[in-house]
Amino acid sequence: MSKILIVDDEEMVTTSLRNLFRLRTDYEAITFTSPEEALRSAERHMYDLVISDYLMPDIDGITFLSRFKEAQPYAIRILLTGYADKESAIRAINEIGLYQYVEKPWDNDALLMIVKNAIEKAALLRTLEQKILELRAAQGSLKEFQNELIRAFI
Amino acid sequence: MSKAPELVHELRTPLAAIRSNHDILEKAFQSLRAHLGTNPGDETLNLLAIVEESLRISRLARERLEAVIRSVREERRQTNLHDAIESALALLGHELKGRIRIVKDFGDITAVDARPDQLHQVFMNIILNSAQAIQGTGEIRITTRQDGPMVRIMISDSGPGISPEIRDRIFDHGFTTKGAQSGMGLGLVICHKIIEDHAGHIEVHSDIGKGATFTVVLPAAPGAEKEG
Repeated sequence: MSKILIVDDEEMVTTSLRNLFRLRTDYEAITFTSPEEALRSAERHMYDLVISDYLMPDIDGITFLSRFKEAQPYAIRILLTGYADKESAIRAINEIGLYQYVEKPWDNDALLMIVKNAIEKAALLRTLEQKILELRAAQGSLKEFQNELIRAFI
Repeated sequence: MSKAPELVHELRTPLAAIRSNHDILEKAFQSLRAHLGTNPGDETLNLLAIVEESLRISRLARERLEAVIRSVREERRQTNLHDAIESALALLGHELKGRIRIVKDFGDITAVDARPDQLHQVFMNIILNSAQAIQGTGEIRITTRQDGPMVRIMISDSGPGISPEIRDRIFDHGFTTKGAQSGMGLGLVICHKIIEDHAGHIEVHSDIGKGATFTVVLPAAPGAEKEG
């Protein structure tokens, strides 16, 4: 089961999103209202995807996501933005490799689609990486076999 | 500096939560209905009625929040405050009828440079709060006065008054005394932001047992005539 971490200082947002994922997906959504606590959780548990609010009292969403990236570089990062911080969100796409920003108020169906696509993309990337590793290993043993053949005939 | 972007920002979060939950509730309601047999029991029907009523309330909350967000983009113009108060009273008629007596003491005041829909929201929220503070029957007095370059609107209720601890937090985001079922603690926060955006301020005075008075102070529009 894919695991999602959600952080927003407004509990009404975390509750809504937790309910949304619980009722309409089989992802496990873990929510936090404190970015620091979320980062501590990222040290102990692996997440496939992280959704963060932009405007929070202690750390802004971009700083949070870049610190999250240090802990878990493979987790997909999504930023939730309000009205005033859209420009910053767009800049962050390049700065911290943001997968997507979603504006508040979000549309449930659109958000679920973004998360589903992101998780599928991450799974495909992981499979691809695995296949590349397998291919490299196969190439290595093939080379060894080739060397043995050469040694046998020369 | 304009507080409008900040106001929109603060309203988008509760709007997002309401919209998302409304959508979840609506889908749950549809699937609940689809799964019901031909002869649902009383308990199931009661449950359906509760969900349907929750949907209606969340739709209302959503529409009100969207109206405030829309009004931020409205153009400012010379606004007659007495009209804004009267239109708020007309909409609250059902809430006040037979329980709250409204006493109007309107003075000679000038127009203000404002977004009329937003001022309408401010008066709606304050009058509704005053009405909800009054247990049983009571009175709300609305007084308007010119005070040099400023216009003062005082809304006093005959409710139980507000304790100093609550008075200090009354404009805080998310603060409510109405319990989780009734309020999100947004009404007075919205009022405060709107009035600040109009270069004015709101004061609240109260003595326990003697009711509370909310005073909205706004600058008169430059060159405006008194509206009487």
